[in-house]
Amino acid sequence: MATEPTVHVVDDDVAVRNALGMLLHAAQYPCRQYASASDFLDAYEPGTPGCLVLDLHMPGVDGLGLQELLASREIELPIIFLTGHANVPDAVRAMQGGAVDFMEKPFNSDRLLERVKQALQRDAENRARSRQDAVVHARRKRLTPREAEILDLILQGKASKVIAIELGISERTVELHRSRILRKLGVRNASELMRLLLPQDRSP
Amino acid sequence: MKRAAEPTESQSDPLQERDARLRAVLNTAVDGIITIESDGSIESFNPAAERIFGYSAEEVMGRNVAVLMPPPHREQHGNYIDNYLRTGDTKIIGRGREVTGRRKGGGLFPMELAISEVQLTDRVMFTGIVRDISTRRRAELEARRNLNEHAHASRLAVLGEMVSGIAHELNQPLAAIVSFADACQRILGSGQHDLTLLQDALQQISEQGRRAGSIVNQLKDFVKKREATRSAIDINDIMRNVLDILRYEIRNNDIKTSVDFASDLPKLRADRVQIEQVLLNLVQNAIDAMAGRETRVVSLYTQLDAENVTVTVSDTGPGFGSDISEQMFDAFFTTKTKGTGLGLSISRSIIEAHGGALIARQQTEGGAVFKFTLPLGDGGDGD
Repeated sequence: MATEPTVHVVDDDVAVRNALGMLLHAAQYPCRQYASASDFLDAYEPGTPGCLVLDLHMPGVDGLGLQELLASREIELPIIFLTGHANVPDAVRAMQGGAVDFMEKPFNSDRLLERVKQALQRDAENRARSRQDAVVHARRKRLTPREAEILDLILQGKASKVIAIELGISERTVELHRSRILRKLGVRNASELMRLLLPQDRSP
Repeated sequence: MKRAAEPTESQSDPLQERDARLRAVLNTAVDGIITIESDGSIESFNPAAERIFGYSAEEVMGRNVAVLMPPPHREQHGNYIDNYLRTGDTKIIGRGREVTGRRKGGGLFPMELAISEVQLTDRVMFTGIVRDISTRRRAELEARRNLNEHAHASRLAVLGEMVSGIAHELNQPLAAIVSFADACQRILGSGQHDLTLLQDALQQISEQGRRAGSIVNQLKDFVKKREATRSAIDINDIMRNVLDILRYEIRNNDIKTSVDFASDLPKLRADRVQIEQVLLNLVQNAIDAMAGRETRVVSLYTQLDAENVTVTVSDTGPGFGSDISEQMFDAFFTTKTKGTGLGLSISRSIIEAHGGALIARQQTEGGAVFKFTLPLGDGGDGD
């Protein structure tokens, strides 16, 4: 059951919230509104697709606080920040935290909608990637301890001959393990293997 | 007691002696002293009175005292005396009051006048003691004008500190207006004309326009250069207005407010903008003091007693060292990086100009308390 990607608007100003709601509605985006960060956290179902349009200054947990909170809970919703009064340190923090954009009110509606489109795209890509990550993770679990050990060495870029010497086995045995690894992971050759596994291994 | 006042050696008539002494007192008195008969005719006019009114004693002796008054008292004076003699009713005898005098050249001036009644064996006379207060009045006016200037400068400074909040406050309705308008255009462009939606958007646009306008007006009133004017004010009303002006600061700093306003407060005669300024200063200070504190509560109270309304503003900040409890009312004293150091000093001047007092106190459990009083006076109407 795939939920429709939803734009979550969090702003303590009811007029701004309603206006954004109407604008997003007119641009055919499903949208939900929240008066505070905690309202959003209470209502949001982790794992459902979408993006956040987030006011920076709010009582309670503010926009940047919510961004940090989501990061710590590994909820990867792309965020577009809005602020009534921008200052450089806030903007820097927001962008370093991975925000799609940081826009000052009154914002340009076209640019906002453009950013919403990008944010939803980014979210879809994130989701596709993590789905793939999950598949790869499941496949890797099928490897024997020896195969997993050899896979690590392959990923370090070591040739079969080197691996054979390091593990004190024959090069032929390494080759046999190697073809079984490729089969179990569902790839045809070493370059496909790299493409599949390396993005997952990069540090967050 | 000094020895100099011992009886003199001369064997002069004691009555004559006393008469001479009284005359000396009259002649050297700083205040004008005038005696009149019950028909209003001037019976004596001392040198100070000559100086004040510009008439010589010979000129006015025997003439009606009304010559020293501007109309309509000039015409009415005879009636005042008759009325008093008949009924004992008086607005002036036995107490001093401020009235307008008229000099020989016709110039008018403010003076303090105290009248007492003298019962002689055969008739009643009145003594008037007159003090020209035009110099004092001018100085007071000058001082008030200076305070006004300073108060205005300080309001501008306060506003400067609030400018980012104000920008935020204005950008909210503007953002809403722009979004509603753009949404309307999209709805119209899509060919699906949902009239209820459009109507709703238009109504919200005009509401938000008014919201922006009222923010601007509120600020305009606050920074406008103006003469001090006293009118009948409701202090609770002013408190609410100040909380409204500061709503952004309060919201953005996540401050809780606790208010306890006495009901049935009488109206006070005060300068609305100046009192607003004092409160704004105290509440803003409280907000600043609580930055980074766990608990952030501003409490506002009004209280009524027999003579005053007392307004209390307290916070849950760190308070202040007792060593600066008076120093902080000095001009240019500040502990803030961006402060002007004028807020409290001007606030105290404003409250004192209203006949009240502004004090600071450290709470035992931490936090600062500022209290000011405004005297009840004679209420709302009249001058």
